[in-house]
Amino acid sequence: MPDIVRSLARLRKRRRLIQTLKKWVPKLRYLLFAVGICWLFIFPSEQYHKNTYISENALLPGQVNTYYSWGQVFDATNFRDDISLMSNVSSIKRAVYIEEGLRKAGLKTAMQNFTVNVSGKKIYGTNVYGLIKAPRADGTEALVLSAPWKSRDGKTININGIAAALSLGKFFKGYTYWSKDIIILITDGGEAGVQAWLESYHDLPRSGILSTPLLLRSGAIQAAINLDFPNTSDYKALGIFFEGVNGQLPNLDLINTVVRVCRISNHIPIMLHDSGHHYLYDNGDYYASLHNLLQAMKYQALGHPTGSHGLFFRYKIDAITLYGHTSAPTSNSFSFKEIGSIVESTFRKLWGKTGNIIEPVPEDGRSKSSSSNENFHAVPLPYNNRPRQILFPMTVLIVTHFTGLLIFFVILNHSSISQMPEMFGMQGFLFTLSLTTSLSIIVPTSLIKISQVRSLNNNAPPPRQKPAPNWMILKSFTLAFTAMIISCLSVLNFNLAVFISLMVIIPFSLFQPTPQYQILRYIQLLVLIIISPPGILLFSRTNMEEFLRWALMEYELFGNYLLPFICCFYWPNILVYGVIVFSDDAS
Amino acid sequence: MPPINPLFPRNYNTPRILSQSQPKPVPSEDPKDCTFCKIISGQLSCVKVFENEEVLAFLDIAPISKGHTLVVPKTHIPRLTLAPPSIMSSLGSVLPQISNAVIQGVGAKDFNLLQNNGIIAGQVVFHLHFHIIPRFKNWDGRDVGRLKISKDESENIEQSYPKEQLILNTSNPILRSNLIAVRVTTKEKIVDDVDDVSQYKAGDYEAAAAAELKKKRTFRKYSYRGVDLDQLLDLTSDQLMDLPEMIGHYLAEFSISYKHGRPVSMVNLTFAENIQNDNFKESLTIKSLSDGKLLTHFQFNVRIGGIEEGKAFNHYKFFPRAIGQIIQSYNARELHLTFTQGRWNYEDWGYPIVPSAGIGVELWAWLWKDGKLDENWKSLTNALAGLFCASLNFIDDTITVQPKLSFRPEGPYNATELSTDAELRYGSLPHENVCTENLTPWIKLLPCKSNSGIASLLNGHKLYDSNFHSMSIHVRPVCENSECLRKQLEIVQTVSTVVDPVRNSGKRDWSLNQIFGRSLSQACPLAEESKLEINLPEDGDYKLSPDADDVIQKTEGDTSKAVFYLKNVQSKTDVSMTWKEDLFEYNLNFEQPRVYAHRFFTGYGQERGGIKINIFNKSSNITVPIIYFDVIPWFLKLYLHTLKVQINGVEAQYNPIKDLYYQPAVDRSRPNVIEAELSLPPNSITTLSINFDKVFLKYTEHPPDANRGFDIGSAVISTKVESIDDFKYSDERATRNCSDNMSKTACHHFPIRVYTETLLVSLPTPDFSMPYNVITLTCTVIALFFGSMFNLMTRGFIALRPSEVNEGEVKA
Repeated sequence: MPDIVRSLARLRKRRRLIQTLKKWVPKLRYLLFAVGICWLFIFPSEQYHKNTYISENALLPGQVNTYYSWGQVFDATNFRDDISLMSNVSSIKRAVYIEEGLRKAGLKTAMQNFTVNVSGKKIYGTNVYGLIKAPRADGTEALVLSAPWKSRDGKTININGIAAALSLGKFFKGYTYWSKDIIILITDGGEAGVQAWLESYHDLPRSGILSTPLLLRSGAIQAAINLDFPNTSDYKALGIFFEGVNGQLPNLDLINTVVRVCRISNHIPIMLHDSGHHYLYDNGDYYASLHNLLQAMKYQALGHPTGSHGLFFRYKIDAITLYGHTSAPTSNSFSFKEIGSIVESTFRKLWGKTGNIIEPVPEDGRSKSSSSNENFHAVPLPYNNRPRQILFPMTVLIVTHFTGLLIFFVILNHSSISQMPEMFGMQGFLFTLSLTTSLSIIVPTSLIKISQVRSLNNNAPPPRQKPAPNWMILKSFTLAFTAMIISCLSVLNFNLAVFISLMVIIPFSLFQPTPQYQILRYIQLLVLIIISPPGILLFSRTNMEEFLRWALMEYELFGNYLLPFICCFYWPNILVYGVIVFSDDAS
Repeated sequence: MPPINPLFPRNYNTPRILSQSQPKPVPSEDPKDCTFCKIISGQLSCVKVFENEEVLAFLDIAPISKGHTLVVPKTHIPRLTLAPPSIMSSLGSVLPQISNAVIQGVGAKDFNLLQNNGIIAGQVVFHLHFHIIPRFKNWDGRDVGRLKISKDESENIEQSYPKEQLILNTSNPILRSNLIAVRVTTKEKIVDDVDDVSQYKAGDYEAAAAAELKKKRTFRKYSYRGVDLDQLLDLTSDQLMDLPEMIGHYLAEFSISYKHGRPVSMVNLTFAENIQNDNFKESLTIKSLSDGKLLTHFQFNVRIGGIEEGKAFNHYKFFPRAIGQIIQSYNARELHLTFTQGRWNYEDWGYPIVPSAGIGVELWAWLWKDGKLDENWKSLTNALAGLFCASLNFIDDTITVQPKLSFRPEGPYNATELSTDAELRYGSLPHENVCTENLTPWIKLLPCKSNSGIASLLNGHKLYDSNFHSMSIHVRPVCENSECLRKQLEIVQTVSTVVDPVRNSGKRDWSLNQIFGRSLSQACPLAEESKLEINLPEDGDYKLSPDADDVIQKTEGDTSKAVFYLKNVQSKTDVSMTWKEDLFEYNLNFEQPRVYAHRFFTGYGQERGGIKINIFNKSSNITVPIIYFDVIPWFLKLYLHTLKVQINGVEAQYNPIKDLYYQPAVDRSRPNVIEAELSLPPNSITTLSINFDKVFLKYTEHPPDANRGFDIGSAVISTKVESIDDFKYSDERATRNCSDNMSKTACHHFPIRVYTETLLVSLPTPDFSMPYNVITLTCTVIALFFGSMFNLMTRGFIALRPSEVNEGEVKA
């Protein structure tokens, strides 16, 4: 008997424990959410983040003697003087100049003309590139040193960047230790040029760029460095841009190699992006680090490449942009000599790198080990065996997501559709916007109406148990679906997942129909409108037309999936919540 | 004919060993008494055959046969074992020429080369000397005695025998100028049993010769098959080894087999049968390429005559025994092995002189069908792997293929006969690195190694510091003449490099010293022809120094050539070429060869991809037939239906593929093979493309060391040399099967083979550290956390009374 008593007592204890837990689990999620957000702010602190380290021990960055010297600086200056006179020259002419410069140095060269018709805008351009065939090597691998014609602001000419690239091409030709070919690539027409070149190089057209095929090729490209040194002045600090399309990132070793090369051999101040916050080699202050972190998260979440390098990632090529920053509060400055040395040193590290296990870098190196605390858990329901009708919730989900697809279709064909309203003197983007917004309003309201009509006409004999209210099932479905989307997204683009979850977790878990307080309903609606895509754009005071065009171009040209994601997954879920909030609380 | 003992020619009437016991004047070893020194200094007269700074050759005063000649160094060296290498090399280098001159001078075909050391061995004059004894048709293998020369005749040696003045035939002008007429007596008298001692006894040369004439000796020796056992057993093994080397390893086939712990030696001199049929030629070609680079091509040809196809042969003179044995034991008809590093740049450099330029190692062989052909191929790769320190043994079934259209035999063949009697096997290892480890065994196969001739320029340090490096061996039957009644077996060894003088100096100037770190040495004495050819550029202000021996003018699309004959060249000559220009200007509008190709992967990612090959035909009016051959490893799964041909970027209106062989891969046992016969329209780019899926390999199939992926070997495009224009881009050696007197366009040409790039394919690679640090950890966390949470949310614990339990059960 005492055995039974004891086990009974244990059972009771367990039951009590579980009941308390059950009572607290719904509240626990807020705690976890808070912990997740706090965690984000712990990352930049010095105690937490790891120092930069090189996982590939064989790399030994900064250990080589660099030979880029004043002779090469002289070459670069000559190129610079020539290029600075060519600001108004046609792209063919300057491509011819660059090609000649590379050919004279003994490189094999080729040109590529391309035309892109993207979101109603036509981009023409001529890429030019030269190939240094590594003597003795079999040419199965290559490195790219690229320099776009225009700097990242899209206006200034990347004079020093191109001049440095040309002088480096001439300089690299004179050495035999390369085990990989080197491609010097000068691109035109912004990122479209890089995309055109990459598509032709891999012979896989996908973005509708019309370009001449490449007949000069090397092997598989292993890494790329993009030089962006606008104008002709000296630079105060070196900015590193590393975010690619859809938040893809290069191997952290590439960034760390550059950082270490700068620190050890050249003492050049480095900053992430053009933040102005100096990246002081592993011991930055908290606010600077936080700024860098948020900046990086923003770039990644938008999925926008921060430079030409960002387009290489799709092809499994590690790449970064080195940017010359002219207005940093430091006393020392640097020019060709240092740029050349950094590139030379980095390239000589890269030729030796043949890691089998090349660690893909998950994040910007700081949020590396962050767990997915921001994920929320489906609301734990007490197990209740009452009937649940899923017809209506499923219909709502399917209809809203179909609406999302429709919205996406409308935006995608924005340029062709917008021909129509121009007859009425209306701006194209306004039409698209109104079309999408009206779509997003009509669908939920009609759904709400249907649900109300349906509940009124519900003359069926009442079942033995009262069925669960529709909104509750719909909400569970939506939460589960959102959780799935966010966790999948966190694998692809972690920072976008973070931002999405930050926005939707609290509203999504709290919102429910409140028929007794109408005012609450409208507050909920307001919040939903704010977090809906047009709402965000409106409240962040973004130029709608510009944003639309930008997102479209990103999607069409680079395959940025931000736009389809927002349209097909994010927006529909908010529409569903509109239905939830306004449905009858039958219970 | 039984072998002849070089130490003691057979059938001497009396063994010399016994003769020693008889009282006789002991030859003096005192240099003052050296007869030859007196001859060299001019105190005694002689009939000189050859003379240079170090060596003197003269007629024996008491010849064993007509034209019996002695070759001595001018420095006094008592015996062979004391001879320094420098003396031996100068002796060795002239011996073949003198021998040749002597036998030609007296009209003999065959001869003995003898060298005695020490009294027991029969040395009489203690000054190192070699006997060259021509043998005539009527010789019965017995040396019955010396030809008698009377005192008068000896005295009047210059005047007495003017009737038969034989000018020695030699192509070499230096030798010719050094040669004095060989005169031999017409009054041959045979005197029995003349001892050497009598001829060369210290003191009065002539008197001694006369006095000893009458002495009789009897010899008895203990021999086995003509080999004096006692003599040989007394030698140390070092001496034994040195012996044939010193006589000339080319004359002797030397083998030692150990019996009862002691070496039993057989020294065979079986040169008599084949001496004329074997020959060795070497040449070095230097050619300036259009982008300022410099091509150097070494070629060594050894031909062995009297070979019947498929029949065994045991005699090796110049032909490397190591290769001969491999070919015979594995029944190979032809063998082609090439090691290449770096890419051949067809656009700038034209066609390579070497027949193969695929990166890595390429091996192909025609093997006789003997029932165990595949076994033979396997053994062949293993044997060659051992010989060249290369990974050739990795050419297994997954790599080996049998091309149907490409790689036809290079030797003469009858198509039907060949298809029934022999089969082709081909394998390549694109990832193989070539280094000195492979070069050293390659050099060992050369008759003169790298000691003399152009081979002495083969400096590993410089050869491998080049933009392109290729080293090859080709063994194949060839016709002796145009009627092809008799066949020879030929081995061609080549080394090609492309160096870049512009890289260092900015100028095209080059010198041998700069390219190879060495200067020219004496010709290899064994070589029938040893020359340095320099292709003279058509334009440009250049200067070649020193002046060439000969300049061959431009013929049939070929460039002019400056030729240096190494036999004329002074040792340590540095040949150089200088241009009058401050800096080399890269040629921006270079000419391109007619057919070349580029191959590349399309697509990205680790799931699927495609291969595309662009084949260019630059000819403005000729449709060129080609054969495209590509081996793609089994881990790329090709889809044949995706094979597409485009011409100039559009779908071809007619099908340019005339013939197509396709072998689908079988996992882990054989590769994909595509072989297509195409015709390329004039001035076009023909593009072939095919798609594939990538296979997920077992983790053990990944290479253990750090790598970026797997290399896919070059595709091969075979095309015929047809127009004159092609010669501009190819050397005559590329179309080698011509005899010298035939015109270049008339004779049979081997196809030119164009090799594309190798490709790197990255297959999905498992992260080998993943199972431990990620999967285990994650799974544990998920199992603990998720499991309990899920339980908590889906189940409730309710304490029930026993009655309720029963009720519940009934309900359930």
